[in-house]
Amino acid sequence: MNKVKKLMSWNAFPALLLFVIFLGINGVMTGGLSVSFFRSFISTNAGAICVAIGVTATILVAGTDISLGSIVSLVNVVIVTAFEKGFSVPQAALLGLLTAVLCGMFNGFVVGIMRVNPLLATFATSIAFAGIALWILPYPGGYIDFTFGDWYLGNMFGIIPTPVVLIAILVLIWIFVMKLPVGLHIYALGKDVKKAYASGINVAALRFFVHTFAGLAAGVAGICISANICAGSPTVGSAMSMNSIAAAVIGGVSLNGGIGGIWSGIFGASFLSILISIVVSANLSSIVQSFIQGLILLIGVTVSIAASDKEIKTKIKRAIGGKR
Amino acid sequence: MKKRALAIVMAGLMAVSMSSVCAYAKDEEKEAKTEGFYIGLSNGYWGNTWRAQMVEDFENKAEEYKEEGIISDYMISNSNSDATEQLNQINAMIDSGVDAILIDAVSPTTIKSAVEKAKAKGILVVIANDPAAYEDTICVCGDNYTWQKIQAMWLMEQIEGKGDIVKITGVSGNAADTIREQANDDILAEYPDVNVLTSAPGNWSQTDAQSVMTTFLSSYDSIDAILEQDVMAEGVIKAYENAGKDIPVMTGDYTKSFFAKWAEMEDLNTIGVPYAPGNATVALEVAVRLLQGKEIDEANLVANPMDENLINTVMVAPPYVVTKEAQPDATWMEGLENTEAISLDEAMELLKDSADTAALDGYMSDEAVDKLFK
Repeated sequence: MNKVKKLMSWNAFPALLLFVIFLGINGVMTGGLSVSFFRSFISTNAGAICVAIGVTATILVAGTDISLGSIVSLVNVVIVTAFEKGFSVPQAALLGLLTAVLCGMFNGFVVGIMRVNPLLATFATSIAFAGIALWILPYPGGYIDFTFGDWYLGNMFGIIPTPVVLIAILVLIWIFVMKLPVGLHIYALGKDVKKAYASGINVAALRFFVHTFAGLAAGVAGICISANICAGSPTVGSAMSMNSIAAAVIGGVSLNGGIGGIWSGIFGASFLSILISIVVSANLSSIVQSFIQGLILLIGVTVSIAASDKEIKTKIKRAIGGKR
Repeated sequence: MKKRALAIVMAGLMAVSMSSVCAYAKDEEKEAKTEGFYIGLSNGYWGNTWRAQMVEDFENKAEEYKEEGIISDYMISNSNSDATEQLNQINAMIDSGVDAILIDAVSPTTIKSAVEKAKAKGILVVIANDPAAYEDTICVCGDNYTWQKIQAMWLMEQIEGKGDIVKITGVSGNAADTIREQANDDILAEYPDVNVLTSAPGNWSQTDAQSVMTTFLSSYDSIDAILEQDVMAEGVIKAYENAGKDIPVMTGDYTKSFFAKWAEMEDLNTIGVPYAPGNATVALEVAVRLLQGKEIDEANLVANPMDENLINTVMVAPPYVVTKEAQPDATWMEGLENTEAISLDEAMELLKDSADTAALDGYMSDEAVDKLFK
C-alpha cells in the first residue's frame, strides 16, 4: 500500500492517469489498440517527448528554454545536408547531435555566464537557430537514405523499439545526474536561487549544464524526427517549443522551478499526443476540433494542478463530502 | 480516494487490454468493393478563408457521396503547420480503418513515415492540393503553370505585345511561385517588344505589394501594365489610389472583395483567375474512382512538381476565367476543357452568398473527372 501512496503523490501521476485513460478511450473509439498503433505512436512522438524532457530540465532550475524547437529544425537540416554532402548516415546523425549540443551550450553560456533572463535569451537564440536552419536549407527537400528510417522504425536488442531506446538514453543520463550531489543542487536552485547561491552552489555551472542537457535532448529529438520523415524541412520543429512547455506543466512541473521531474515531461507529452489522436478518431466536425482539443487540454491542466495542490484537494474533498 | 484513483487506472487499463483483443477482427475484409468507402482528409494548414473553403468544399462533396452510398463516412483533421501533429492525425486515421487518405501536407517532405504506414496497410494515399512526391501515390494539385499562363497571355494581348511593364512576384523560393514565374517567363519570351522594367516580391501580401508598387511608382514615370499574382491586386490598386494616378491594365485577384471593387471601378481593365479551393474536392473524386478499381489514363498524368521523375500528378486547371465580358473564344482559353470563361457579373452572382474574403470557387464535375480515367 505504501507504494500506491507514493505513486499517488507523485508529481507526474495525474498526467500518467490522463494518458492511460485517454489511451483507453482511443482504443475503444478506434475499435482496438494494435501493436502497430503503439509503434507508430512512439515513433511519431518520440521527438516531442525528448524535447519535453529537455525543457523540463531547464524549468526545474526556474528557467525555461523556448529555442528547442528551432534546434530540432536545425538538427534536421544539418543531418539532411550532411548526408547529401557525402557523409554516412551515422556520421550525419552524430553531426546533428553535436550541433544540438553546441546550441545548448551556447544557450547555457548566455543564460548561465552572461546571466541573461532565460526567456529572453532563448527567445533570441530560437530566432537565430531557426534562421540558420532556413539558411542551410531554404525550402523543404533533400533526403536521407531509408536505412535511417528502417533503423528508427525497427528494434534494438531484438525487441525494444529504437525510439524507446533513444528516450531511455536521456532518462538514464538524467537519473545518473540525479544520483550525484548535482541533482540535489538542481532542485535547490529551482526552489530559491539566492539561498542556493549563498550555500555555495555554482549557479552558473548548473544553468550551463541544464541548457546543454536540453540541447542534447533536442538533438535526440532531431534525430528521431529526421529518421521518421527521412527528409529535410527547415520548419519541422517550429511548433515544438511551446508544446513541450505545456507538456511539462501538464506533467506536474512547476514553472516556478524546483518541483517535478523528468517523467513529468514524458507523460505530459504523451498525453498531449494521444489527445490529438482522440480528437481525430472522434471524427468531429473540423470547425469544433480545435475547440474540443483546447477544452480537454484545459480540463487536463486544471485537474493536474488541482491534484498536486494540497489546499485545493482538501477543499474539493470537503465540497464533495468525502470522508477523511 | 486512493482506491478510487486506483480503480480509474484499472478501468483504463482494462479498456486498453480489451480493445487490444478486438483489434484483430478488423483487417480481413479488404476486397474490391465499389461503394461504402471510408475516406480521411488531413489538412496541414488551417487559418485562412481559402483553406476553410477547401475543407467546406470537401465536406459538401463527401456528404453528396455519402447520400449516394459511395462513401460510408469521412473524417477530417486540421493542423496548424505542425508536422508532428499532422503525423499523429494521419496515424489516427489509419488506425480508424480508412480506405483512403487525402493529405495536404504541412511541408512536402514531412509525411513519409505516415505514407509508408498507410501503403503497408493497403490504404490509398492521394496527395491533395499542394504537391508532394511519394512513390505509389497519386497527386492531385492546382495547376499553377496554366493558372499564371492564362493571366500573362491575357495581359500581353491587352498591351498588344509591346510596352513597359512591372512584375510583382510571390514568396521567393516557394515552389508555387517558382512555377508561376516560369509561366510568366515563358510567355514573356514570346514578346520581345515587352520590356520588364523591374520585378520584386510582394510575398502574396496586400500590404507588401502596396509598398512595392509605391516604390515602383516613384521610380518609373510610365508603366504600361502590371503583372502580379494572386491576392496582391488590391494592394496595387491602393498604391495607385494613394498616388492619385490612373491604374494601367493589370492582372487581378479572385476574391469577392476584389471583384466587388472591380465592379465599382468603371475604367479598371483586369482579369480574375481563381486558384480554386475546390482542388481538394477533385482529389476526393479521383480517390473514389481509384478505390473502385478504375485506372487513370496515363495521358492525363504529368510529372510531379516536386520530383520530375515521378509521373503521378493530375493537374487541376482553374474552373473559371473572369473578364469584364465573358471571352470563351480568346486565345488564352485554348485547350482548357474544364475551364469556363465567365463575365464579372456572373462571378459576382456566383459569390453573392459568400464572405468578402471568399475565393471564387469551383471544382471538376464527376463527368469531367470520369474523362481522366480509362
